[in-house]
Amino acid sequence: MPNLSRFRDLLYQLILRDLKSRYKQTFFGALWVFGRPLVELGAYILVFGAFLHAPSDGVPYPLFAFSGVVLWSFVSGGISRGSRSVMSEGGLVAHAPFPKATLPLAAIVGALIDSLLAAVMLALLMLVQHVAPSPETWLLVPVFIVLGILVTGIVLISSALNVFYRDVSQLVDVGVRVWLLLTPVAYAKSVVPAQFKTLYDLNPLVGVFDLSRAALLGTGSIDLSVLWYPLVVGLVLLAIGAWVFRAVEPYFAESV
Amino acid sequence: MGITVSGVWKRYRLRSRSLKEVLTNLVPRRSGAPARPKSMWALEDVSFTVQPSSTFALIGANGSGKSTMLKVIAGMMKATRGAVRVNGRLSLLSFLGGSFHGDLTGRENVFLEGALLGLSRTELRAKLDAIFAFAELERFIDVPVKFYSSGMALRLGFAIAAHLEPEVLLIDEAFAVGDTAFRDRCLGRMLAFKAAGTTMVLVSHERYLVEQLCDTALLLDHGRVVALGKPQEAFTAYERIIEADEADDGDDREGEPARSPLEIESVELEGGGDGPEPVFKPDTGLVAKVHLRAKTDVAGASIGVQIAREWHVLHGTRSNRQGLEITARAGERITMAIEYRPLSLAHGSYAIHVAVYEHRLAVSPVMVWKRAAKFRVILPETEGVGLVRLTHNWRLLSDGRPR
Repeated sequence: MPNLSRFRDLLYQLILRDLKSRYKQTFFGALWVFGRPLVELGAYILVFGAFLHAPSDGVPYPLFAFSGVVLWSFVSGGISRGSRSVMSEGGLVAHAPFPKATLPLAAIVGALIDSLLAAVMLALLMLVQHVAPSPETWLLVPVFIVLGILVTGIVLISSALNVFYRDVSQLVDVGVRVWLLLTPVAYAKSVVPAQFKTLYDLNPLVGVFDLSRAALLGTGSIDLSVLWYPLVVGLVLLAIGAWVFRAVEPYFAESV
Repeated sequence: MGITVSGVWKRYRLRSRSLKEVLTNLVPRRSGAPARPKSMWALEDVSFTVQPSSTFALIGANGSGKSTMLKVIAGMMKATRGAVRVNGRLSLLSFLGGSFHGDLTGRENVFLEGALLGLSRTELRAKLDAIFAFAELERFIDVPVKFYSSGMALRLGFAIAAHLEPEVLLIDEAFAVGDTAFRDRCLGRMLAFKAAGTTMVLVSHERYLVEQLCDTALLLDHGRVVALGKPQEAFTAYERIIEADEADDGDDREGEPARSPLEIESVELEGGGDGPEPVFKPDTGLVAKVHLRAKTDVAGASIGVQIAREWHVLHGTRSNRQGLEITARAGERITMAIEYRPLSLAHGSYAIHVAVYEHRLAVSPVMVWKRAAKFRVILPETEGVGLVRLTHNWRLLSDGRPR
């Protein structure tokens, strides 16, 4: 399969380029990767922790919020970088024959790497706070896989459509912001009033975030079956995304 | 390893780029407002075959569909109708070094650009030194590309491409830039590809390159096939299209004719017979007579004459370079003549541009009459290639036998 190995080689080089250029082009380089989630975390601690006293399922609020931020940075980073990935390489897309799906995938992997670096900081924070990771921490692996499927599905659709309708990336940005508020990133699910519960649970990320906190910090009982719903939603989106991307890829070169 | 293009049509949608336009298009348009065209045909029923191991050229004006054709062959675009079959591993050279990221070093960039062109990491690692040697950038291998000049980046881009081993190679005007020495090396590399049996399709404006390199040429005009055959025949057809377009242009007087102290009334060519396009032989002479009228009192003005073929100016000079200046009173008529003997031009169609300079030191003309006269040069037989025919004689000085 020379095509598959070509795809893999190209994907690897694109990821490497994004990583290296991020480290080299800014004055603080890699510091930004750590700085951004820390700034976000600071704001959450102030607003949700100090002002609003948001419930945090019995763990110190900074830990609670940061575990959410780590997961969320993958979702939001992957979606917003991925959606623009094809357009922002317009010159290449118009002039070089290569499998275009490498562009959104490289962007998603880039966001994953950022998120994993933030996870390293989370581990340090846990160490400082004397919180031992629960033995179920390995469950974060299936959690990231499910998130990856969801994000990839969305990004394949949005990055392809963004080539034809520039509004799509704006729409996606608004959507991501709203999604953040509707996801238990900065607050625990327990604040949601009972009558909104069913509606709230329609958000496929709710179960994923709940489970990952339970697995890492021991905030509740472990119920693996909550992964089914986001997994099915993700697979459906992935199937649609793959179909859309393949269908419109031949028209990228004339539309960027 | 050949290419078969059968009945290819390609339509571009000139479509809306935002949801706003999609929404406004849903509302029925009021009558009176002219509807914008929704699409255009970039290729119309194009068919041709590129024989294995042959070199094929796509020629034509900008917007004729050459690049679209190339992208359809490369599989980057889908033909609206028709089919393209390519046998063999394909590479497209276009936008050399397009993936380069300024903050990354030459070495780092080679790996990404190479991966885009379809070279594996192992191949690239093995060829890295050869690539930098070809580009003559060995000293800059670990320097960020943002410190490269555009020529250096281009050289590196071509060097990567030169180390591909394609069976079918598509080249999109890769020679548009670069200095002479580098172009020679590119040409050498392409001749090597040709010798190795690579099937090549070349999009180019350069007649000399195409005539030297290609077995067959296809002329496209507004997406349609106009000529398909030997490069010389295709270029002859191309010249005819250019002439027809120019004839439509009407007045070719550029600059500020109103401010010019001299009016060019007519330009007359002698030595080639009558008609709008007299015919000359390269070893005879051509006299161009420029009839002028002074609109005001003139002192120290001069005129310039250029001989051009397509967009190449082959020769240009000003009368004051031989000490001839024009001094006249308003209303007087002047005739200047310039003689070319021998004419020393190759077979083809030519145009004469005439310019007026206000004074000896004027750097640019106050007006230019483009294509004030046209003529044709016909050679009884071809005796070489190139844009000019230099007077020359061959002699055998030593035949290798011992004396």
